[in-house]
Amino acid sequence: MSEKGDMFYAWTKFDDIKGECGGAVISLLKYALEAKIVDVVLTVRKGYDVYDPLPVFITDPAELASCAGSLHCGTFLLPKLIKKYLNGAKDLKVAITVKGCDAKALYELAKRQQINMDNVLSIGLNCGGSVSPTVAREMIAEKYGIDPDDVVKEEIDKGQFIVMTKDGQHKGIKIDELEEEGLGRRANCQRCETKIPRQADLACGNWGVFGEKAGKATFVEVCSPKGAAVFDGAVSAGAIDVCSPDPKGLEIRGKIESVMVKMGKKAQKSQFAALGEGTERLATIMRDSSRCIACRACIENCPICYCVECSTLKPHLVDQTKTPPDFMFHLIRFAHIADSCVNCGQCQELCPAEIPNALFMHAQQVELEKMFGHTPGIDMSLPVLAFAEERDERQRLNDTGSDMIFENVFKE
Amino acid sequence: MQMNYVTTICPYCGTGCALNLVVRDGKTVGVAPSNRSPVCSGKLCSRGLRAAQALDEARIKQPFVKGEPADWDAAIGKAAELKKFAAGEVAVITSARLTNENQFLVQKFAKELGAVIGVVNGGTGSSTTTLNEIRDADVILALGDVMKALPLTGNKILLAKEKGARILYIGPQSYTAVQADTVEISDEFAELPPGFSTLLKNAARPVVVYLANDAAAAAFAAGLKINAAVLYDTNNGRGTAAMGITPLSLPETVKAAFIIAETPEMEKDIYADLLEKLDSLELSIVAASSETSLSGIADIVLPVSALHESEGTVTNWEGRIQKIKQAVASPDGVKPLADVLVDLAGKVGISIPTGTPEEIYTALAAEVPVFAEVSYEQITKPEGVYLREA
Repeated sequence: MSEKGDMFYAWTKFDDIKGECGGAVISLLKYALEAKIVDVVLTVRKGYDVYDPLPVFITDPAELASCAGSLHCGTFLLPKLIKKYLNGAKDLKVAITVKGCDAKALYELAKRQQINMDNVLSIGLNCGGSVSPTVAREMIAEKYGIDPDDVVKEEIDKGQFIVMTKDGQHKGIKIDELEEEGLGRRANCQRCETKIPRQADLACGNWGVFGEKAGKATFVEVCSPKGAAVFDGAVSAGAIDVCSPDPKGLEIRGKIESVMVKMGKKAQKSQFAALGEGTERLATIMRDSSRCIACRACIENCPICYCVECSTLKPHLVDQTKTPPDFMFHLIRFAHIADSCVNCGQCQELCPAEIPNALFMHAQQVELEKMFGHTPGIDMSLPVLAFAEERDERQRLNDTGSDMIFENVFKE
Repeated sequence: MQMNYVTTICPYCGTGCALNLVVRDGKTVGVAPSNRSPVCSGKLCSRGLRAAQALDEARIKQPFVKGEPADWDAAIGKAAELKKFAAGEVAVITSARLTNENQFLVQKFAKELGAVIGVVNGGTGSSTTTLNEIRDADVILALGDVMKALPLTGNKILLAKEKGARILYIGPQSYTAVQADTVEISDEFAELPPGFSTLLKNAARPVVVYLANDAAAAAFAAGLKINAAVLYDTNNGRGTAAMGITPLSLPETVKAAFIIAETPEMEKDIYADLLEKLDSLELSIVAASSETSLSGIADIVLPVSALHESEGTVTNWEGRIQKIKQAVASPDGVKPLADVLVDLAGKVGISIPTGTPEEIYTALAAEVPVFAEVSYEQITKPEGVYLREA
């Protein structure tokens, strides 16, 4: 029997599953669906081509084989789809694959009672960062001199972004070099420190698979009792086979993680420094956010935004007729979200006005963490704003005519 | 539970952003980004984000004759009274939001009937530049509030600005004026302010940007002799113009009108002008997927499929032809526009092409030179395919 903290090499025993490295992730999901541990699997599948990963909602275990393999252009966030379209997993059991930002988003949504974690099985995927599909295609055409349509596979390995063409050509360029030119991974990925998502029930990846199993097995770390039960179940049911990891592999995995976390911290330092400090930083934020068209894509895609009545829509706070909107629009978002920002990057990547929203929010989050000690996305501990049930709170304010928000939260 | 994403094109402006419609158990329940889109990289404006709701809102689900519910046979039978009018007395008023295939059929219908044809909310002119060329421009002259009308085209202007391009603006106070670095607030385009001329003359990659329905801006831009982005603010205004369908001008002789009023909700007022004339007509027929001011007072109302209920192609302002995919089935009682046109054609004694969207497209490509050499199959790729002249 496995328990939290145990680590394994695991690989598929299904003939039809051709995974990136052993196929354990897809096999675990298939087992969970077949054994009716979950009703639906929310994961990612190749769409039109390798640059087009699409979220899929799978209820038929036979369909899972088509989801095997990793896609580094998958820049979207899955957990909010559980809230939006699966009723927050309130009455449906969901298995979901999560990279670091997904795992953190899942926790923040759960804290706000938008997702029922009792019904969620999360399979973590190691993630060194993702690349926007349009950036990837332009980069491959211009920096690699390769027709992006000829690329059949891409991977990030040993600090390089490597592409493979249909006629077997391999070409890698150092990520550092790409990122200095504004290419490569998204800016928020560059700042990320969550490379192995241990918040998930199981954390999987190819880092640390060493020796004869290299390329043939998935490294699995058991991260919760729920993860242990599903992992053991998959072994007993014959979905996967396992062995102990090579000690040298453990060391390698630790090294990769620590190097990447250091890179993340370094990127934070330089990106935050570029914003300036104090008044200068405020001026930068005000200047860039004056491009806002109030489309609300940041709100729509933010894993922290969940309010039924959004304050940015209140005419007494934000004049609804002005474009760009008053700076209050952004102040409301900072006040409501910054303490819990998980740096998923959606608000920036999907901003039609190219406002570096995620950079602004993340820069504030690290400062607030120093002040209030709340680290978003690592466990279920609550930030102040998540204490209240929005509907109850609004009802109370209505019923009593009080304007004392959060009175019930702060009362002894 | 069945749930999937269907990648299609936004039904609103002429930028042609791709988006994913989220479909659950046969119904559209939301919009998700299509990060793969070379046009928008997944970014959408407020309208695109709302597309799933807009396409399903205020739907007309059965035919009406004189305000009363009617069955299809009765409504088409009544609409066939179009044949009583002489050539020149009938106007076919189309929408700049139809697919290329449906637009081709509407045009055929009008031609066979001898009717005049015009488009509401369309435009004229073709661009000599592309979205990526706007992004890479070094001086951009915007005439009017182009960034508000086409927000994701505006995105390329912002990207150019980030890379150091100069953004010049002539027009009324507006969002675009706020984003430009050099601004001339004016209601007309009289002459180029002196500073502007020098910048444009010395630019390596200058672009002028204006709306396809702004004749004054078009005339002014023509004098500049630089690459122009002619922005259509409808999803297929460019395709409609490419077929030679020009903005509506209703002759005095018109006594009957067949109006295809395809417009997602939030934009009802585009028919305000037409509304006044409707009363003076002897027969008015509206085919539409959702309610507009026109459907309330037309003699006959025919409910047709919305843009996410059948497949086809649309052409963005660049001249990029992209695929629209069917996400869901039409509600009961609603027919595809192509079927309605064929039925009505039969009743009035004319003949128009029939077939699958691919067959109609192929017929279109054989007849309209700018579409020639682009096959329906090629259009499937996320990049789409440019019209030949673009």
